[in-house]
Amino acid sequence: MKKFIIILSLFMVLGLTACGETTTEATTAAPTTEAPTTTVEEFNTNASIQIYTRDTTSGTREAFFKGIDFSDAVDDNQFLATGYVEVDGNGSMISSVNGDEFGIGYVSLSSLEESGLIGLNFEGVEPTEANVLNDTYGLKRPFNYIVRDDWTGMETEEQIVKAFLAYMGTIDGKATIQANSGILSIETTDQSWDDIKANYPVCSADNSAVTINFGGSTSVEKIARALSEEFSGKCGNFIADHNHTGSGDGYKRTQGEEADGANKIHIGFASRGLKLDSSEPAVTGTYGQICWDAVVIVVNGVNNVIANITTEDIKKIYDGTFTTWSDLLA
Amino acid sequence: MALSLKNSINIKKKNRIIDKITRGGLLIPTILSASFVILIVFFVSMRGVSPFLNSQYGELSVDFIRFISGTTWYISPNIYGIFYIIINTLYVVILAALLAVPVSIFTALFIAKMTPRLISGFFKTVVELLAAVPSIVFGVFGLGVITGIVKNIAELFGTQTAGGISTLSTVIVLAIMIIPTITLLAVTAINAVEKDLEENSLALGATKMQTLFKVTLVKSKSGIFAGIILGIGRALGEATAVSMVAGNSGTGPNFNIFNTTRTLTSTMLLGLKETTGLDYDIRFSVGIVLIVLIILTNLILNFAKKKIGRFS
Amino acid sequence: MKKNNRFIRDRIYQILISLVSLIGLVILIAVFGYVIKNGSHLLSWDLLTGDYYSEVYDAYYDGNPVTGSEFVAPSNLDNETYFSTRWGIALKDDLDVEGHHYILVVYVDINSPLASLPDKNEEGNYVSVTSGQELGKIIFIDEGYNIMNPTDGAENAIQMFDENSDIYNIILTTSGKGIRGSLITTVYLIVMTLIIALPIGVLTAIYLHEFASKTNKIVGILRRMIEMLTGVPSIIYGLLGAAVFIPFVSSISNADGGSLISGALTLAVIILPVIISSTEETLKTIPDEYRQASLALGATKSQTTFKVILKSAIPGILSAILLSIGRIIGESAALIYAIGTAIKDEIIITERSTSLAVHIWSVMSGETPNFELASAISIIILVVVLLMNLTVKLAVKRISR
Repeated sequence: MKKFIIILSLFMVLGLTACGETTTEATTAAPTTEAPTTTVEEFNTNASIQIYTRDTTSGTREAFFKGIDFSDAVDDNQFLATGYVEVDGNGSMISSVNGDEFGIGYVSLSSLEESGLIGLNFEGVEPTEANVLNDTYGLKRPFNYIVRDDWTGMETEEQIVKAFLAYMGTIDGKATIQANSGILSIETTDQSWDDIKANYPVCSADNSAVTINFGGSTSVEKIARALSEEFSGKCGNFIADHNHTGSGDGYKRTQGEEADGANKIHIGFASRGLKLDSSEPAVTGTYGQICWDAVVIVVNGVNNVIANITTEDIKKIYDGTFTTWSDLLA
Repeated sequence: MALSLKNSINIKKKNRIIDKITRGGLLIPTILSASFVILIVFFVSMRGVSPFLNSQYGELSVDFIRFISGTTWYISPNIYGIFYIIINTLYVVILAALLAVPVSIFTALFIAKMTPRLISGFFKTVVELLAAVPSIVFGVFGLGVITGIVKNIAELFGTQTAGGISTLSTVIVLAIMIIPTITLLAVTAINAVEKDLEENSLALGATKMQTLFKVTLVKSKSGIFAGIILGIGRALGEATAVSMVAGNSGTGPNFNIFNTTRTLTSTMLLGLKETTGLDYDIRFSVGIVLIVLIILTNLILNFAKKKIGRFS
Repeated sequence: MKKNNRFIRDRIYQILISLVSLIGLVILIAVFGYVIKNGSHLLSWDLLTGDYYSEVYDAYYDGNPVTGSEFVAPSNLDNETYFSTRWGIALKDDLDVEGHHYILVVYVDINSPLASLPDKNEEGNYVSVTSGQELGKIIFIDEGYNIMNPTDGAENAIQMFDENSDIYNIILTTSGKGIRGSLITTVYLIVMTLIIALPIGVLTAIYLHEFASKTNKIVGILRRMIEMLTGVPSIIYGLLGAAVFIPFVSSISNADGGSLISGALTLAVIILPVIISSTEETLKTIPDEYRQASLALGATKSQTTFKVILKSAIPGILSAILLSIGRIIGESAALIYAIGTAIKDEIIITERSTSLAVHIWSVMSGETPNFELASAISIIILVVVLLMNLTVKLAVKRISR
């Protein structure tokens, strides 16, 4: 029976040392959401680089790895350096890199300002909307729409969706997209909705019994919702039902295998280019680009050793050639 | 008189029929309740087997051998490896149990034997409340507090963590979540030990602690072990909180407590929002593995429990 | 000497055990402390009753050109608030409950044209810009269009107000981000789940305890199968929901994909073992004399069970209900699979929406994570769950007395 007690006391010591520390600090520990209070005077460049990546379903991930010329890693974790952390969403990415002074990751440009992270220049170009539009900043992805091809039995819906597409091209629609962090250029010569609404007689009718189903990418959801909420009032108060489940469903539920199923939608969105020559052979004229979104490489707020990164270097970080910050700086 | 006798026999017969009908009626919900276990096993298996079948996914079907022996979770387009995830899961759960068991037993001893009723009642309530705190809340707490502490611990040891997201954070969160389970069952087991035995021990000159350790604990170990089995089962299946602090490493297995890890449950939740097709169905396959793992662990632990019960 | 030693060791053990048993208490306090510290300032009536999606007001202005600097800023504005003397409106940058920047309308002069703008979509209607609203885009019209982008901040917006005199289009929204929808969903789920699970669970318990023979092997197997449900982790129940209940509900209603019904069915299976065991425990405490007395009075066994026994079992059933409510409110993993994670304002039982716990999950894995909102919702969940458990505990104590 002695053994039993010895083992027990062993557990106890283990438990005490580990849990004791936990509990004494638990009440005083600062939450990691706040910026680290212990500002490191000298950033320790001998520390290893901790890489963070989104999971393989993410459109941001695709845009990032394609942008840094590392297409192998889009769908494949085995090309990444060991010890990476895979996070579930832009939000987890922000909180993870915020909690790790030696971390590096990538987020959508629209969330950079609020994130508390440092966004790096890419190939010497600052990640700004202007640089995305003048095509100097390379890490970007298109937001696309795709509508149904077969409208049999949904004539009113078709008219409304056509009007909606036209609205996205007007100055009214573009301003809304821009207000919701979509990147596009607005010309003063763009038409306004007031100029063209006479071409869409369906909008002067009462459409309050018509439901338009929106779906596809979750990244485009914010823009799509803002547009539909605003446009509904301008087009007979149709009901906008949003069910965003991922870029892949944008094609699948308008023209693909679920186009006539229970999950069918009238208009879908994709936060990446459509795979026109492989799995998403959309019919010409049924799809198009709404705006751009930029991806920014981010490091923790205390990381003051780097402000710019090249394609080559970022790839070497993610494939494991560089393991410490000093490797990168050398 | 004869008539009323006949009447009463009739009534008795009628009553018996009514009771039979009631019994039959009640059997329906009972069978329904019992059938859910079969439904779970059957339908989850059906869905979980589909990724391996040619009929469902054609050329994209997943190779089962590579699935069960793989050390990389995903290689495009259809290679999934789960072996290291199983090892990681077991490793995390064992560490969590090592942490939780002594704390639970001591807490149980404290509640059952060492304090006046008022204080022990208070502490028991605390443990019961802890048992009722939902997983998601522990997840928020784990990500907000425990990862920070683990990060500092790692710095003490001169190593780095991914902002505290690590095996150790997962272990601590799990331990916190199973301490109440084990403690409550241990309290019951300890309370069930006959007072006479303890009094005899004390009368023979043993100190209170000697009695607690050598008599009370030894006598109640079977019950305590049952609690541990339950706790380990809970730890294996815990999903939400774990997925928030585990970090989801893509390869493994990993035994360094400051590195990230990936459990079966965190794999099932990662990327769930935006996935369809094969990548969705494979989560059911992971679910089957989880079920099998829980059953096996239960069988082994119950076997061990019987062995331990024999020597006292 | 030796004896002394022994007692010292005894003391050390005692102190150690007492210290270790404090861990549970410390954790509970730490969890509460953390969520209250981070979330309490967000908890408000507005958060609880507000819509998640904001209401949109769409207006314009083409009346008399607004000229000169007529309006005077009220004296109580702080220096982070910007004021337009031309339009009489004060704006500042603010953060919503999810941590996003937006422009908040702080003040509008009652004589400002903004106090009553014609509605863009419905002639004859008027929209008034009032404090508390969120400013969306503005398209000013001068010689061409001038667009005010709200992501450029309040200072820029005021500057543009001061430079322009007509508005082609202005969008205002209510603040949104409220959790009313998720709160209602949670209540719906509780009610629907209990409606499904209670009768099945109670009847099963009655059968097992009152009618089934104690030695029958098949009954033993059924009992074992029900007991096995307690060991199934909630994420596996989620798979059950996704594989069985979602297709089932879709086939009998117009639901497509996850719905509140499929969620409630899944939750019902989860709480079934709780209800069965809790009911059976109370049935065990009812003395056999009750049954015998009732039978002796000529009642059938069915009558005895449903009129006498069931009545005495009500406290046990009630405590099962309370425990189930706690479990339903806290459940996340199963619901992520069985319903989905889409936050909704209008709750329809054949459609998706999130419970409070899944709302936290959505917030934490969304575009920007928010510990504060997550903590605020956690407070609500914790308080309800703990109240339920404490009530059960007190009730059981009182009854057993």
